Amino acid sequence: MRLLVIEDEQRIADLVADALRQAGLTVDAVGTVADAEAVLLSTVYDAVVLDLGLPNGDGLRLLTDLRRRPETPPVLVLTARDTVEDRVAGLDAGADDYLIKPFAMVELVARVKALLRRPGGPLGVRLEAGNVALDTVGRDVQVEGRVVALARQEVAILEHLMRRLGRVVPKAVLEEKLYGMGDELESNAIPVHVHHLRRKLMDAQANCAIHTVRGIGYFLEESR
Amino acid sequence: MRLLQPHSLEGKLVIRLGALMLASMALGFVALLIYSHEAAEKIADEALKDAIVSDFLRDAAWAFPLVAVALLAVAVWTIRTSLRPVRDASENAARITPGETGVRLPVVGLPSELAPLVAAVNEALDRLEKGFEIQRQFTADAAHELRTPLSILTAGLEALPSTTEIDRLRQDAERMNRLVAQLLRVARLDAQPMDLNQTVDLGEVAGRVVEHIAPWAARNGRSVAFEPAERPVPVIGNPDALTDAIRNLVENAIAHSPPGEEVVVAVDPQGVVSVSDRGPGVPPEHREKVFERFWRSRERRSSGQGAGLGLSIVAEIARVHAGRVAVTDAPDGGACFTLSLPPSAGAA
Repeated sequence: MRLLVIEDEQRIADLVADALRQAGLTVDAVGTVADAEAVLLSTVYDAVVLDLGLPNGDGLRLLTDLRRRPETPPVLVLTARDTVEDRVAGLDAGADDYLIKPFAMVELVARVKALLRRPGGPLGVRLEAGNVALDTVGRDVQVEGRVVALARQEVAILEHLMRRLGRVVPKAVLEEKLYGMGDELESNAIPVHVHHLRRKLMDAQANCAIHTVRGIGYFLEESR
Repeated sequence: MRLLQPHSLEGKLVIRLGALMLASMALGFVALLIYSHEAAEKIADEALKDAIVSDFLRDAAWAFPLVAVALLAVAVWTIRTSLRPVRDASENAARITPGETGVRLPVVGLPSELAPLVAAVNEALDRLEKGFEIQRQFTADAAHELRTPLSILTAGLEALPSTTEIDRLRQDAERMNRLVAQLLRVARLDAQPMDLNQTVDLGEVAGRVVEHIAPWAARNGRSVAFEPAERPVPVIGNPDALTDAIRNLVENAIAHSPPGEEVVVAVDPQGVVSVSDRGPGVPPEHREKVFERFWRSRERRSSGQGAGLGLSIVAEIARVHAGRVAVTDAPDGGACFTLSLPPSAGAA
């Protein structure tokens, strides 16, 4: 998987590139909009990390240009300005996600991976979290290569949690994704499935765990 | 009718014109009397003479008070209509605040004598607005300039292998990150206008804060729970400011919560968000002070934790929303912070 990092601050560019390389990704880093445009012509990237505060030519303009192309990789925007207008401008121009500087590198890597894990993304077919792997096509789940028997809804819940690893998935979203409009839905259907899923993952010695955020939903986190 | 306020332009004019007219009326009347008598002298018949004089007086005398009243009315009307734009201008001037510097006083319709004053005030406002703009720009630039080296520092420390000392440095860097973020929030609250007229679902805003903060809380060994109201709780305000306020309350609660304990964020239909923790609570003598800028408890001060900014930001956001923030004891011990907002007109 190939990533483009566009960041004019050399030290940050180096640190970001190193962190992403350690996560097993191939990284090209450029410092100006002109260089970025040049490499984007010749290379296909799976995701772009873009500093919105570029000096020579606005990062925002590059983002808008990128979005005009027929096939564009997902873009994670980095910004030092967290005022509402800046954020809205970034998201309106087509950023898929944004991080406010200063950010934690683990967070950056997690966000980039989340972009790659989207359906259609290079990590979107076989999802991984810790020693758990989920094949979205074959609908099977393995822990350390051993298949874990899960019910259909349990696989679906795990898939959503894995795609948003480390971030909360609201219970309402899970209900909406798992059950159609006309389906009868018991109010505790999701909690019951999560309960079983959690126990089965624990029995299989998965090194990631489902946390409950009472009143909101669930999130999956790799154990440290 | 406030005609006779001796210090108003209108009052002065009415008094002076009135006096002038009384005097001229008396003078004119006497002159007429003399003149009509002189004219009548030439007529021999006494009875006819008297009739002519009294006829003349009856015909002419009523005109004096009528003219006087008409003149006064024109004077009052002219003054009122000419000065109405001045009142409008003062109403506009009353709206000018650091967050609302775009207001200018209207020049249209002003009497030309007053136009230079208003134009000069408007120019002064232009200069002030420019000053505030520079201040705002400084805040934004400071954000960028401080955050870039902080990002490098944070990322660099993260890349190093963990040792006790490096872990401590990482905590220091994180504290500095939070401090810079909060200082900038304070600066923004002070200097920038905020659109306070949006309808915001308090339940949605609070829920989203819990959603975003829960993984971070879990990494710090605490959990956060949300107890929503049954239905949406619409309030009028700024969604970003309210998000900031609730996030600060939750961060504060997590910082004071013992490991393994739950922080509960609840929203009630009256427009109140409450954040309860199981920490040591806030003693009654500190319940006002905790919302002051840079105030910290003795323990927090000596341990070097916090900057005393988070809760003062909440208090400021509550104030601009005409709301209230207070702290009481939570039912199970610990502190319970409540942020109350006036419900929107359409609610409840």
